[in-house]
Amino acid sequence: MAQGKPRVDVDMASGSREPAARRWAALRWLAAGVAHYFSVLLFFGLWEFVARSGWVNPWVFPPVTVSLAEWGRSLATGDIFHPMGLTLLRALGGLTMALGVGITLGLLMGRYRLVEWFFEPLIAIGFPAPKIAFLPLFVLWFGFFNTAKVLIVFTSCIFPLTLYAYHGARSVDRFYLWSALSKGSRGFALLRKVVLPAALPHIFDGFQVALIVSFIVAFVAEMVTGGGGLGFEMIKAAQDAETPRAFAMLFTISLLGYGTIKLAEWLRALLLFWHIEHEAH
Amino acid sequence: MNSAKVEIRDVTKAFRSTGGSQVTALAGISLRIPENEFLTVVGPSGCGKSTLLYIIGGFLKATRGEVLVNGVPVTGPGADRGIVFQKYSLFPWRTVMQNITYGLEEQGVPRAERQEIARSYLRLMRLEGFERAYPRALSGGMQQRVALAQTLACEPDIILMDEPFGALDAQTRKLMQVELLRLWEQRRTTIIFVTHDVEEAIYLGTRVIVMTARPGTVKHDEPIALNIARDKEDYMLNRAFMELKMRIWLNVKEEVERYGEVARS
Amino acid sequence: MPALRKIVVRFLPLLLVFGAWEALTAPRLIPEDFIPRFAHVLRALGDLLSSAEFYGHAAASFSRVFIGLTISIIAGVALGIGMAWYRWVKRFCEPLVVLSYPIPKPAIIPVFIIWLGIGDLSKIAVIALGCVVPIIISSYNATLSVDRYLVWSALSKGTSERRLLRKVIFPASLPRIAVAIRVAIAVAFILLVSSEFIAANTGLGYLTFSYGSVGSNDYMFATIFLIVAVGFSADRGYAAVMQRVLAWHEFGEL
Ligand SMILES: Nc1ncnc2c1ncn2[C@@H]1O[C@H](COP(=O)(O)OP(=O)(O)OP(=O)(O)O)[C@@H](O)[C@H]1O
Ligand SMILES: [Mg+2]
Repeated sequence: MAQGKPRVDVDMASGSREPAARRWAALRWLAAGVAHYFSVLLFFGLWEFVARSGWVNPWVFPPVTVSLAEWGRSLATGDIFHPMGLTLLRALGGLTMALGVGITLGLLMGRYRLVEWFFEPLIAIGFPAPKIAFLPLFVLWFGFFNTAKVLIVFTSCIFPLTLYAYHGARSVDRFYLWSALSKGSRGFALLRKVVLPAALPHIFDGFQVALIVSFIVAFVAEMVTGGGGLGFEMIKAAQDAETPRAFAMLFTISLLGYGTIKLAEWLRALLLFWHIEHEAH
Repeated sequence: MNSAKVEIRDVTKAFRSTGGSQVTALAGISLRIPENEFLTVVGPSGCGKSTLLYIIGGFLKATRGEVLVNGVPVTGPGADRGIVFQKYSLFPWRTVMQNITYGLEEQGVPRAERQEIARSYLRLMRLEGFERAYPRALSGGMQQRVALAQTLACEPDIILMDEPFGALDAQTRKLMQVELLRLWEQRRTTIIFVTHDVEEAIYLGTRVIVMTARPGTVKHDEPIALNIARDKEDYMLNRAFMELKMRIWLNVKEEVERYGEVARS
Repeated sequence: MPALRKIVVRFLPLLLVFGAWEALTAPRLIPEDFIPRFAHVLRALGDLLSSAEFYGHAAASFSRVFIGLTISIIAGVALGIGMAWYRWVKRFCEPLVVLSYPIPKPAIIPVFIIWLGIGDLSKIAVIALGCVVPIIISSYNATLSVDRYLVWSALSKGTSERRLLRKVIFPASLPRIAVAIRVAIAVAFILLVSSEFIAANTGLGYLTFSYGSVGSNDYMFATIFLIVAVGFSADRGYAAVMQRVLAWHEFGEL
């Protein structure tokens, strides 16, 4: 515990502009980074050591530096951008379609008994089920190209989006509704002006789930059915025994995953500024 | 020569808030609480009453100073000091009965005996019929009675109570006060009881402490020596009672106004 | 029987969908090799459910999910609570968890196939690794957000610091851990089916694809329905069990 130790006055260190002091600060920063990421460094260090020791086949277990170099190369030459664009297109294409349909459907379910009666059991069964199982079916219907992939993404994303929008619409404070009704809002206007914004925090929960799902499903679809994209390239690299290249794809998709998670958080903060979020902890 | 049950010696507590600034909750508070005393503590909201109890309980460490219980410095929580929190804190995964027997279980009391003791408290708190209920099925007042029974069942040496009746409705509250007082008259357990209700403080306590606004210290210390039976209705109409209430209330009011903060009521 | 009527009314839409399917496919309005007749899918379903081969594949899939999930639950809960409880566990695990969190889990399938082959081991490893991260994070958060008054209450009634974990911390964080496990179950089925699609020679995912590649579309439909049904029942079964185990806790729907 750091409580007992004298506290280093950080402001003083960064305030003095002498080069020596700055070098110390940089060194301290570096040391803190190494201490913090100790386990990660250990992990990669062990990986590198084992891979270079000659105990394992380099095809199975290439050194991490080789994979990183391959990643750097594919970034520098730009030949990673084409598959990346394809994957993005499929994931976000399917997601966008699902957003429009899912949110509308969910809100309608929350407001109209008949719509709710018809769709509730379908959504209830579909939500926890692994939709990816429908992939062979989509291939049968739409072939190996973009259509099948976009549609399987759409199918997978629509369930969380609808369900969360539905719950959001159902949990709208009835006093908002009464207030709007007493001011003459009806039908679609009521849906758009009151139900949608009030349900937005829930809808965003659904969006964050669907965003991750869209990338996962697009990636799997590419791995299974081919047709370009990061998933296809990764499987191809694995089959061609170009393991470092497979890892380069893994790094890329992880970075993409990180970027989308952050983007969703940023969007949430931007759009839901009026909503008091419960701190997770 | 040291006959105090609880001795608070120059206790200071400062919190470091997230912004880096410091909040001094308690500033050098000292108190001697003899055995068998029913001490009640009143003071403006945020003056450090809960903090003081938590330090005596051993949950928080004093920034400076110390607390002695039976002449021994407090280093951490212990079964000798029972506590009832401001907020009901029952174990939600245990039934009413299991909650009441918790402390006995931890002290290794045999099962049959536990059940018997718990049953007597269940009766005392008028909770018969709810043995198997989970806390979420109980009203706030019932939950607080279970919490009380849970602590009392351990028969601690000292009982710390942090506005235990604050969330109860007026009727239940009166019944609970009478019940607590009866219990104390039987057992004479040392009790430190925090409240924001001056009337409650005078009615229950053998001594009332008024704390200053933050940083909290003792502003006013008054033994309650009203020589009348504590039959509530008559008691409150008594002239001496009303004078006492006025005097203590003025002390509290002064602090509330000085701090510019409105006391919860 | 009002209960039965309620169930019928609730699931009538499903019957309507199937009815429309049969009505459209029976008179061959839609070519059979595009969408098989619903009656044929039902027949295939009956066939599958009475064939030993199907149960072999189902057992392979089920054991993969079961073993992978069990590993991830035990390791995830232990690590999550450990990270909240011991500073050094947190020091060690947190950077690794943060780093592996944004990896889309199916992306590790090819890596594990290279390392562990196309048998059970690679599938179990993918499921275990894919499910462990969310369980660690939830267990950690749940442990940290245990009401401090509950902890203090136990301490003041003679519970020692060591017993605290079992008596208070674990039961208090169980509801949130239970929710995380429910999500993990869904993730496990996605990973199972994906990895069996990509490379396998047993399992329900493999079976689906092999029916598709020989053009037995009715059987392919039937297997897909069975996978969906198994995923759905696993979720509902788990929820029902948890509702009993955590009877003291109030659950929201979802
Ligand atoms: N963990 C903490 N971090 C920072 N400040 C704190 C913390 N706990 C308490 N404080 C501050 O210490 C002061 C005293 O708090 P405490 O809860 O003891 O007041 P109190 O007298 O019990 O008030 P009330 O009557 O409202 O219960 C308050 O001003 C509060 O803001
Ligand atoms: Mg308080």
